[in-house]
Amino acid sequence: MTAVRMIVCCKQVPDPEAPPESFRIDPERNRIVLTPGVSAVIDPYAERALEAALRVKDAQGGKITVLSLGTNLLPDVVRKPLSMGADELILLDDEAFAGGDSWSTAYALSMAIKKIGDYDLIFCGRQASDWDAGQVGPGIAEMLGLPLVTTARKITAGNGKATVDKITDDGYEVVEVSLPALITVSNEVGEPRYPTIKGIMGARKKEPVIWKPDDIGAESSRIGAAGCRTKMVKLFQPVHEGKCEIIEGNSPDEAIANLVTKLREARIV
Amino acid sequence: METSAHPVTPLKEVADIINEAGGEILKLCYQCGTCTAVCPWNRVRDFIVRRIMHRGQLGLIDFEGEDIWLCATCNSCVKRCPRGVEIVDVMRALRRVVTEMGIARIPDSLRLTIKNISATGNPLGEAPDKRADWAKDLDVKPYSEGTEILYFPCCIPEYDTSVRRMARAAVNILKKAGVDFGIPGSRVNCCGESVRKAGDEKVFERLARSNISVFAEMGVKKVVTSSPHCYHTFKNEYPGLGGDFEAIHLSQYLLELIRENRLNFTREINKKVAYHDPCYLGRYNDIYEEPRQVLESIPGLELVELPDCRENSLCCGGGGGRIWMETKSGERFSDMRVEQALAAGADVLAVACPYCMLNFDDSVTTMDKGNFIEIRSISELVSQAI
Repeated sequence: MTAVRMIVCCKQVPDPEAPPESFRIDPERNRIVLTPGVSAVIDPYAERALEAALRVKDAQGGKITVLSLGTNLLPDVVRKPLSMGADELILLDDEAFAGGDSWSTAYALSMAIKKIGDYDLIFCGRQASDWDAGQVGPGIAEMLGLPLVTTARKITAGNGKATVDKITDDGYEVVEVSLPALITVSNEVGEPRYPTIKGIMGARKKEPVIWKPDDIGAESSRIGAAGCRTKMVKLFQPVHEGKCEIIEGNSPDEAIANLVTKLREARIV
Repeated sequence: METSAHPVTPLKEVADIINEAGGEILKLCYQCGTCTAVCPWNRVRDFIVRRIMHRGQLGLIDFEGEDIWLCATCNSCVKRCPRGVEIVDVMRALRRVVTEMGIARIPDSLRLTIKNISATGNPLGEAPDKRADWAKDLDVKPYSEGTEILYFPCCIPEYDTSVRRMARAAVNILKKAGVDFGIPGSRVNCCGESVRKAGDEKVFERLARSNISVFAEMGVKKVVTSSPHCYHTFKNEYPGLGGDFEAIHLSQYLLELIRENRLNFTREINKKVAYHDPCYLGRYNDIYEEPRQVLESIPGLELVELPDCRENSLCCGGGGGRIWMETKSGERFSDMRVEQALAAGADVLAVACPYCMLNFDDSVTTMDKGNFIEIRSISELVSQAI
């Protein structure tokens, strides 16, 4: 069985486990403002994409290159995939990438992947936990002209093809795809592994490679804010309104009967 | 020949990491096992503290297991250790290794609580600008420069309506005694005590430095706390980070007010009251007498002692971040404590800590003993009698 050459796209996001009260919207600039105590993490879907790649590597060997795009990426955060078992980290870190959308991000990542050149499988999370758009993976596949399988929960690769269990609304289907291909990974793949102390120590010896837009031959009009094809019209937090009505009754039985009547009137039961 | 499934060669790198995280003192442990014998966990399940110390020395800690998250930091073991090993610091170091290196799962509820505190300054993840809402109808002023006392109720009474009563009672007392005081506003954070014990040193330091700077800016000279955890942190840990103010626990301050004849008791409380010594007031700070003297000052009140009291007080189970973690039924120290109070014939179990109050309230409810015993804070009892 031949070793599989894999690329995993990992996004740095604000911690999705931070409480809702730590998010505010600046309506004038249409931007999210976070309190300083919200830390940055690797997107949990991307961690699952990495886990899927690590399982392929565990099963038949291979090399995993992690690709992260952003502005002022935090070394302690983006290095985590190395301590989990990835072999190489490439950072597309430049001010020019700021303010991008799914299209401009997919463009920059696809240009970087072209530069890497040799690969069998590209993994992305099914979406990222900050915007939940789920478009970058399919966008890269389109730009590179690769077959795409979305929402995978299990992947085996070899002999020029991959077999993928793809999640559907009522179960999963088994899809066979020729390589190279792009696969987006769903949370059903299971919990990503934790870094080991040995892995952390090994990762400390690896320096990330940093590529600027010129290094990947990206056109400046197609990256970051300049390359956006999405226009943010309005960003707002929906107002949650709760109304409480106490259903009275002379006895518990009567109160229950009144409650059931109300629920029926509201067509809830 | 059979081979062991686990390596027995000491993992020096792991031991070094534990030492760097603050666990170096475990080198002093000579494995006598006193810690295990006095640990309250062993009244409900096995928890071999001595073994954790030994495995820590060898670098063979099971970071993925439950054990390192069990310690309620009650300090019983530290008080008895013949070698002076600060076992609580070792537990903190082990948790710090997990938190800072991300090598294992932090129990979900604890992890989310720390994220709440980090992001909003309070464990419930509520909006910082609601911190003073508990006193909206009490005609209390926010602390401002020149005020004598900052009354610091702790996030729990401020945000959790179930124990709000202890802070509201304290306000009633302070007002009746004519104390010049104010309460914290939105810029103040959790003191960070539980965060530090849970192993997140970075978040603790950020919270502490922020509070220290806000207190200095507001000209705070004296803080009266409801919680022994806030008290301990302000008094013993903030000075090392630049904190320059006096901290005093409410029970101590109430005794001062009584001695200065600033509180007039006008009503009797004809009840048997058992006082529960909180770990962070008693074992950590040697405050045993003041809360008892306050209770004994209340006319009609009969103070009864529990079997495990003072230096040997039985922890409620809420320290060390345990208050944010689920403890299985049958393993709750607070259940045992309520049983002790019932056996002592107490009508009331008096508390001086919001964590104890939460745990004992839960125990009384889940044990269905609400008709037999009440959980009341010292402040509530005093407030009722004046």
